[in-house]
Amino acid sequence: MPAVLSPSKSRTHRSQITVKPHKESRLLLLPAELLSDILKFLSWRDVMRVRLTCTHLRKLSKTAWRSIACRESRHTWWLEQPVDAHSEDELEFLYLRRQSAEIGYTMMANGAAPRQRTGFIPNLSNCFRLLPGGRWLLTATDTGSVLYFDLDIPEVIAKVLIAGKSSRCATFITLDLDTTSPTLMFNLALSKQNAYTTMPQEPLEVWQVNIVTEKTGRGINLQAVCLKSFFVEPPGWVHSLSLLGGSLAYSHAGSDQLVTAVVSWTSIEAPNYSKRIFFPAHAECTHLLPGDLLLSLCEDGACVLPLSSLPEVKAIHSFDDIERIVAAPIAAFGYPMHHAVSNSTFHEGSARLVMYSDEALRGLVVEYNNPESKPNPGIQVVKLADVSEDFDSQISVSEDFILAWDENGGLVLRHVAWSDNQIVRIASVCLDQSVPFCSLAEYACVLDMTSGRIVVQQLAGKFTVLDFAFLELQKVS
Amino acid sequence: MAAPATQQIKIRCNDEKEFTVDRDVLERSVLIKNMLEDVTEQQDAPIPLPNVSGPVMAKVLEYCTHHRGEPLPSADTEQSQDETRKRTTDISEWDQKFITVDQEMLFEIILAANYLDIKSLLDVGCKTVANMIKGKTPEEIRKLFNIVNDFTPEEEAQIKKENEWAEDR
Repeated sequence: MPAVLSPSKSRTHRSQITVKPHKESRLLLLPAELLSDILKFLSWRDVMRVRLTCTHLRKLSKTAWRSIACRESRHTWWLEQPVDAHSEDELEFLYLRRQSAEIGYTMMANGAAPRQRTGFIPNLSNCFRLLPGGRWLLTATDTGSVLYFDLDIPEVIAKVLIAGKSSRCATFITLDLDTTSPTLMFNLALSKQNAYTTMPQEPLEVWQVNIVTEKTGRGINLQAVCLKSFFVEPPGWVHSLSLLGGSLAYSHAGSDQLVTAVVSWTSIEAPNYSKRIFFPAHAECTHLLPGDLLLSLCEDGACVLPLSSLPEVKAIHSFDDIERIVAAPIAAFGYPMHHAVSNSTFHEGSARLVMYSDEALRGLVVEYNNPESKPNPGIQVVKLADVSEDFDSQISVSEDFILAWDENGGLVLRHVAWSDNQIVRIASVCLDQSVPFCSLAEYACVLDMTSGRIVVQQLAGKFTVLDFAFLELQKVS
Repeated sequence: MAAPATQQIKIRCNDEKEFTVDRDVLERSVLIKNMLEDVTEQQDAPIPLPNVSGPVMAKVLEYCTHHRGEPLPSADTEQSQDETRKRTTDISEWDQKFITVDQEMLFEIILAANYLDIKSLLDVGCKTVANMIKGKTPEEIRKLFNIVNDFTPEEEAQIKKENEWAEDR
């Protein structure tokens, strides 16, 4: 048979004559699987343009988000479930929200106002935690309860995670996210202290929190089970809590002393449990770091110590029995005030946190992978911004963004670089034009860049949720 | 006895066009490779390839001949390669020249590479189409690939609104 009469040959011929409106699209005739293969090579912006071409490609473009999700770390998006358990619509929304958060940030810098919602906490609260991914807001109240809010639904409704029966408590929580779990899971350490009763206080508690899914597999609620409950020893006011894996660090005070104890909380069964003690001058703020390390911010500066280097004791009856440890700080700076140290975030073998000290907002980068290298490149202190006074207020860090109170009394969101004192303040967004926030600096603010979400506490149990993802273009008049 | 490398295999396309090709060239196609491994006796009848036409097969064989002897991606490496493979749309100079064909032939090559299971050629084809799409507006993409806009005005307005935040930023 002559080759020229073959079907394939004649089709080739036709395409060269071409361009009639009803000519079939060879692209759309490809099997869906091959079209998806092509979309995998596109950037997300290109996928967004493709989805505007026709209904078929609109539908297929959704497969691109799944392949992007599969090749990126799950924690880039903070997916609550394994990638396969999320619907394509969910993945599309989550990915685009993440991309749009950074763009929304720029838009706010140019005057766009973030979307706002208001929530209420039935009890007093001064401790807010926003889980990575921005969906779950946790707050500890003065009854000793822990409440949570699902911010991905329009209505901001309080639900009880842990019930509290106390009153007038200073309640504090710290979270330890299990990044190896395929579904959202974290441990939570809870301290409750009543200013109007004498010692002993209520016990410290460690809870495990899981996501509750509905039949479709979508997470709808959080639930918590108490794993451990024990008293701090010797009895004292807890100033700082840090939870990481099987270790819990608490700094607590009796009279003027402030002592840090690190315990293997899982193995505590009875009083006089084993604890490692760190007792420098005024160690108010402690963070446990991967690799069994303790970061302590004390009067003389920052120290990073292997837990194994700390003396282990069992029974301590009084703070007076504890011998002071003089730790050589490996980075010196002005002593930060009580609340003025942010959460720590982890990035490629380093922990980053931010604090107010010496009239500046300072970033602390702790390379925990090489704490023994000399002469201590393990900690780097970088100046992020000048402030006229040191605030005693919460700071929130998410990726390369920090949310903190500024000298003019407003909340400022900054984009920062973390290395070599080369801090680039790309832009800053002062939120005080858009949020009727309370200017009292002790109020909490939390930030999550994955979702482009900020929560700011206000007076009388009120808080404002700000979303700057998917901001629309300002119409230029 | 001839060494396997010089063994000649006959194939027949859907337009009756026949090719006689060195076995190692044909084995770039995992489909044919598996077929040949299943056949123990010497066969003189050509292997029928009902999904590929002669002109397309000629093009595919040109690719296979150029890349003969290169290691085939094994099942083990595929997973890790997938990571880097999907990130880059770079195409080597020879492949670039090879794939500079009209759209009809391009899509025929992609379909043939998929059918014959030649992963590297499928990638070259898909990357080429992706490169054609890159940076273009929806209207330009429609024009290039003869896509009819079948959205209702409401649907289109809705997606445009959803896309708005990302425009030119």
